[in-house]
Formats: sequence, C-alpha cells, structure tokens
Amino acid sequence: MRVVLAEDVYLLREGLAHILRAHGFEVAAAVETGEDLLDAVADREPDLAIVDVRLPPGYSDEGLRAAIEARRRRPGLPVLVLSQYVEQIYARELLADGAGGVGYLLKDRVFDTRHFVDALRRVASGGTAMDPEVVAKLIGGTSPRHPIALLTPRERDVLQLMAQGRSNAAVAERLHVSEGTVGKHIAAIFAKLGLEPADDTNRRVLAVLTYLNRS
Amino acid sequence: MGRGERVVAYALAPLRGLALAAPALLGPPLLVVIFVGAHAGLPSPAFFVEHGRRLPELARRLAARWGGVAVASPYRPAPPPPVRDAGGWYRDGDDLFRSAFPPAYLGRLRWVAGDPATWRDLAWMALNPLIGGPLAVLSPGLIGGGLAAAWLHRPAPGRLVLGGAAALLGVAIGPWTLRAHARWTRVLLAPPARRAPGRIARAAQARAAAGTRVCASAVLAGAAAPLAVVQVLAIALTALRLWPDTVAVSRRFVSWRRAQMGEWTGVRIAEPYGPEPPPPRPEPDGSYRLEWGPFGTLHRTREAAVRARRLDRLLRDPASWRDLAWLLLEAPVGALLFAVPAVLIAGGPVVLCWLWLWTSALGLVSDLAWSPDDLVHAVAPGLAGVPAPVAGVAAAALGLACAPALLRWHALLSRSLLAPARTAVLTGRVGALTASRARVSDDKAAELRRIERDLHDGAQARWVAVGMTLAAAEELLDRDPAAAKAMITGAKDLSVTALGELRELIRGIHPPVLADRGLADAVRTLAMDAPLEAEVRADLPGRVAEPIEAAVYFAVSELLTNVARHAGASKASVELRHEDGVLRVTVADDGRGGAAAGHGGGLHGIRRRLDAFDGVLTLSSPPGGPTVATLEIPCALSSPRTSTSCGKGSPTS
Repeated sequence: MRVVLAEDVYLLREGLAHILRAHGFEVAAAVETGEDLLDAVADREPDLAIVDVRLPPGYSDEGLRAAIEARRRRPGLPVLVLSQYVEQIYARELLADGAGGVGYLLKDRVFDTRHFVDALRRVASGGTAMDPEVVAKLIGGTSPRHPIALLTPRERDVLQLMAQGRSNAAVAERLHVSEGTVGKHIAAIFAKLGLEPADDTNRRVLAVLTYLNRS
Repeated sequence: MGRGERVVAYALAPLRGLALAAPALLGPPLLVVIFVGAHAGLPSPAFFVEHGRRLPELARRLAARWGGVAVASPYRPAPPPPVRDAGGWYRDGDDLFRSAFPPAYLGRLRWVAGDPATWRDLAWMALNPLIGGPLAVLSPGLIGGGLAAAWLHRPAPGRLVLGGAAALLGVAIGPWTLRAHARWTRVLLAPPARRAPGRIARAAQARAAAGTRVCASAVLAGAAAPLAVVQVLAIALTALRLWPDTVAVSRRFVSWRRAQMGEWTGVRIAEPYGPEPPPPRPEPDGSYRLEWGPFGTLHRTREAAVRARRLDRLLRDPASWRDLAWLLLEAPVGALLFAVPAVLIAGGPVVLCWLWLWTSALGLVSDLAWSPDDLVHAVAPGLAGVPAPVAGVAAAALGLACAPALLRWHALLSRSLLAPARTAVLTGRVGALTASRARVSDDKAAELRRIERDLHDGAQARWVAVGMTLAAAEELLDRDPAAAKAMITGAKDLSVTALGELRELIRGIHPPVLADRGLADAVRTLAMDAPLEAEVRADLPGRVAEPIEAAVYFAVSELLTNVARHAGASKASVELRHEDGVLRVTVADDGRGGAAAGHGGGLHGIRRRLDAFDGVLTLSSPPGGPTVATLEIPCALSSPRTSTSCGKGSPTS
C-alpha cells in the first residue's frame, strides 16, 4: 500500500515512516509542507495520505487545509490527519464532504501500533477513524433535549465506539459482549436517532458521523 | 333593517339632530363653570371636573345609540379613599394627615389632572359648538329652512320647488349627519389610540419640555447665588471652619444639576470629586497628627482629625474651587441666558392670554380700564392694535424656538467648570492604570506559578518515571525479556498520560485552535463543545490582537460554562462584532436569569482579565431571564481576513 506522509518534525516523520515500513506499507514520499503534499499526491498517486495539521510556513492549520484540498482534487482520496490536539471544528470540516476514507487521530494513538495500523487500513479502504476524544466532544456538545439524551448508557458506549469507525466485531470485543448484542444496540440507536438502518459497516459509521456533524 | 324601521330612522333623524344641538350649546357654559369652579378650589377642583364629565358621557351614549358608533369611556379609575392606619393617620405619599380630607382632596385632584381624558373633554366642550353643532343641525336646518321658504313664498313656484328640494335633502341626509356627528364625537371623546406620537407631536412635546426647562433653569440659576454667598461667607468669616459643611450642601446641588443638564441636553458631565480621605490613624499617645507642608497640627480627638483631613482634602481638590466659581457665575450667566426667554415663555401665555381673558370678562360687567393690551402697547408701541393674546402666543413661540439651543449653550459653558479638570482626569487615569498594571502582573505571576507547578508535578514527574522505567527495562532486557517488555509498555502508557496532561496545560495557556484559526472559529469550537445548543454569529473583518483574543476566548468559555451550569438554559447565542473601534461580544441565554455580577469568582476573573485592556463586562439578568452578558473592548483589527459565517458547526476553510 502506497502512503504519502506530510510531517514537519524530522524525528516524528522518520518514526512514522519506520512504523509504516515495519508493517508493510510503502512510503512513497515524506514531505514537510502542504504544497509539497499536494504535489506528491498528484505525482505518486498514493492509496493513503497521512498529514499533520500544523505545517510550515504558518504553523497553523496548513496541513488540514492541504488535506481537504487534496480530497477536493482527488475525491475519495483516503486521508488520515494527525495532530497534537483534536478539535470538533476540524473533524466537522473533514467530514463535511460526506465521503468516507477519513481519519482524524491524536499523535499519541501511534504508540498503540496495532490499533493505529488497523485505523490506517480502515481509512485506506474507505472507512473512518475518529479519535475517541473527538467523538466524545461530538456527542458531549449536544443539548440535553437532543435525541442523543434518549440513549441508554450502554447505547452511548456503543455509539462512541461505532463513531470512532470500529466494526461490530471490534465493538463487541471491546465491550465484552456478543456481536448479536451489539447489532441490537445499533438497531436501537438508529431507531432513536431516526436514521435509516444500513448493513454495511462503513456506510453505518458514516451515517452516524454525518448525523453528529449536523447537530 | 326592515322597511318600516328605515322610515322611522329617517323620520327621527332630524329630531335627533336638533336634540344633539343641546350638548353642543351647553359645552361652553359648562367649560366656564368648570374653569371658574376649579379656580375657586372648593369643594374641590376635582368635583367640578368629575361632574362636568356627565355631558361628554351623554354625548358618548348618544353617539352609540343614534350614530351607531361605540365610543368607550376613557377615564382612569378613581383612586380608593384614604385608609386610616393603625396610628390613626391618613397617608398621601410621604405626608401624614390626621384627617382624611387632605389626602382625598389631593388624590382626586391628581387623578383628574393626570388623566388625559380630562383635557380632551375640555377641548371637546370648546370645539363641539363649532364642529359637532353645525353637523347636528344640518338636517333639521335644511328641512325647517326649506319648509319655511316654501311656506313664505307660496305664490312663487320656483321657490316652492327649491324649498321642497332642500327639505327633501334634509330628510335624505338625516341618518348620515348623525353618523358623521358620532364619528366626530369619537375623535376627542374616545380613549386615545395607543400609538407612538407622530413627528409633529414629538417635536411639540420636546419644545414644551425645553420651555419648562428654560424656566426651571432661570429659577435654579437664582438658587445657585445663595449657595455661593454662603460658601464665601464661610471662608471669610469662619476662617474655613464651616466651609466643608457648605461644600457638602453645594456639592449635592451641583451634582444634581450636572445629572440634570446631561438628561436635558445630552451634554454629559462627569463627577470630578476625589475620593473621601482615608480615616486618620492615631499616634501611640492617642493624638492625631496632620502635616501641612512645613507646618503640622496635633488633634486631640478623632472627630477633629477627621474634620481637618476633610478640609485638607477639599482645599487640595480643584473640583471644590471650580464648583465655587460655577456657583458664583451661575446667577449672572443664567440671568443673561434664561431671563428673557423665561419671561417670554411664562409671561406670554399667562399674562397676555389668561389675564386678557379675565380682564375682558371683568370689563363687560365692571368699568375696569386696564387690559394687557396696554402692556403690549407700552412695551412695543409699534405693535399697537395687535391683541394681547396674539402677542402672547408669538412671544411664547419665540422663547420656545431658542430654548433648546440656550439649554445646550448653558450646559457646554457649565461643563468647562463642572467636568473634571484635565489634570484630575489624568491623575485618575494614572491611578487606574497603576492599579490595573499591578493586578495584571500579579495575575501573570500567579499564572506562571501555576504552569510551573503543573509541569513540575505533572509532565516532568511522568517523564522522570518514563526514563526510570526504560532504564530498568534496559537492565532486564537480557535476563528477563518478558518483564522488560511489560515495563516498556508501562513506559509507553505513562508517556500517553503525560502527553494528555501537556495538552490540557497548553489549552489553558493558549488554545491551539485560537492560534490556528483566530477568535471566531475558536469561539465556534467552544460553542460546539458546550453541552447545550449554542449559536455563534461572528462579523470580524480581520484579526484581533492576540492578547485580546485570548482574553475574550477565556471570557466566552467561562460565560458558556456558567450558562450550562447555572442558567438552566437550553439555548445560548454568542455574537462577535467590531464596530467603531470596539470589539463587542454578547453571550445570551434563554435561562432563568437572576445571575448576579458579584456572584462567583468566574465573572470577577473575567473582569480582571478585561481590565488590562480597558474592557468592561456588563451583565443584564432580570429574574426570569434572559441573561445577556456583554464584553466591550476598545481595540483595532489587523490583517483583513474575512471570517463571516453563521450557525453552529458551519465549516469554514
């Protein structure tokens, strides 16, 4: 799998490239700025772009803007955005086009290599990977009169994990319940939030995220 | 309406018209009775007005019954009779009476005089004979005149036809004249419509107010002179001993005038007085020492020391001397500005119109030779032949025309003495800045201490632990690889925790999203993260200076937290605007209100933060809501970068 990497700090860039290679990814280009990222995406036609939010020259949100621009130029290009901190507003902007293949994670998540590589594969295959902190903010920033307030605590747990992009099996494993139980919870959540049920995991996650993004 | 009824209506209309002429004719005599009776004062002015209301009430009833136009009774309800309290007193405002008569008399007088319907009734009595009367008698007049003409000129067939036609016309328009008469009755006798006064009415009200104020200013200018004289006497005769007491009285008068001039003319005059002196501290032997440049005085009692200190403070306060100068100048300046217009405004209507009415009336029944006409001729021989009321109205109009400008000039002149002197303003500003700088540096030092402590106890300690764990793992790597691996995992977890703590710390110092996106988007993230529906409207055509951005961000964060925690609100809205060099941020919610500015340390913290930028926080929170907090900070915008959008979570990029 061909990956393009945009990260300005040398140590982090090399560390990431090292982890990626160790897990069988091909690092097609490792660049420092948003401009270079756009060029690399055009030249190397990667399967996935990994982008840091803060990049030179402004050290504000150039990376995020470049990622959104890259997806505008190549619709559906899987992008994983990494950052030292996560904000709802950036997640919402990434999800705004309603297409899958988006990830937004804290840099700390790289430490847990197994989950991180899982997330990379999921995003590359059109799924999503939202940081638990972002999901908590998306769900927490709703008013007490929001339909989300109708969910039971267990259903909220399932919603949190599902919104992160995890499959039913992964949710079941994490909550120590059977996949069937998770399926029932998900059906109840969809009914309470008034969403159309869907069988495909990616579509379901996207529906939930789009829903959270709207509210 | 049936055919028979219609015939009856046409037949009765002329008779009803004739009947309506009676109230019209009764109006002016009744007006005179009320006027004379009210001036006589007994049994009560209200008595005459109240009983005089029977005539307009009759007109209202007839308008409804004959003209088909319902006219509601506009009078305010009568005040309740005075009630005897436990001590046997009757109360009127703050005055107490043993007898019920004075409060009842005054209450009813206020009741009739304060009711606009009273004045409309009186106007109707004066005007009805001119308008309502002719309308009412139009139909019977045509019929009667037509029939009379036809009868008198029987041989002439032309006149006969003409007279008959007039009579028929009179019959035909009978019901219509009744309706028209009823509509006219409604114009003055119905309760006035609840609508804003028109442009002309507003202008007239403003002029009338200005006229009253000019007259009041003339009187108040006279009142300033005794205060000035008393102060001068206190200085000269009592060697300053009684001066502080006279100043205290003068200051109350001058402060009241300052506020009044601001209210009347919009010329705001700030209070210039310095603060009260701090209480004196006794020496070890119980005496009080007061130093005066190269001299000093020893005071035996605390009262004497307090007095001496106050005198010292007053002597040094330039506002004391400027007030005195104003009081001395006020009488001549006031006389110069206000005497002539006040005489015109008050004298025109009272002497030349009202007195003219009385002298004319008396002249009919006695051989009174003097009339205000003579006064007009004496003052202005060129106006011989102009009746006094005309001259009076013209004089009043002239006075009213220049009243607003005179009031404004007076306020501007007064401001030059009554506003704080430039040095006093600067002294106050320096004091405020010194205090706010001290607070700012205190706050900064406290914040740095907090950051240092957080780093020391948090991230730094964890990194030490990471290092030690890794060192131990290094030792174990060869001997016990499984234990070493477990330790490395532990070190990894520790570093994640440390990173989380660092993130929180950084967010508290300067939120990254603020640095990345500026104030508008940073406030949007706050609204998104708040556990309630929060809408953000931002109109900032540029970026605010970074320290101000941070202060506003933390202030909005605190306010939204308060809303979520205390207000019981379901919705909040944040608005950011920059206008006339002021950044204005409002945070409003639909909660239960009743938030107090002093309550809780959060608002106090916001005030302190804003203080460094001359920013202010105002809070409006009536019980029952809504609560609106407004931050205002004077500042400029830099680097035009449009960021205007609306709604929660609308993407900007």
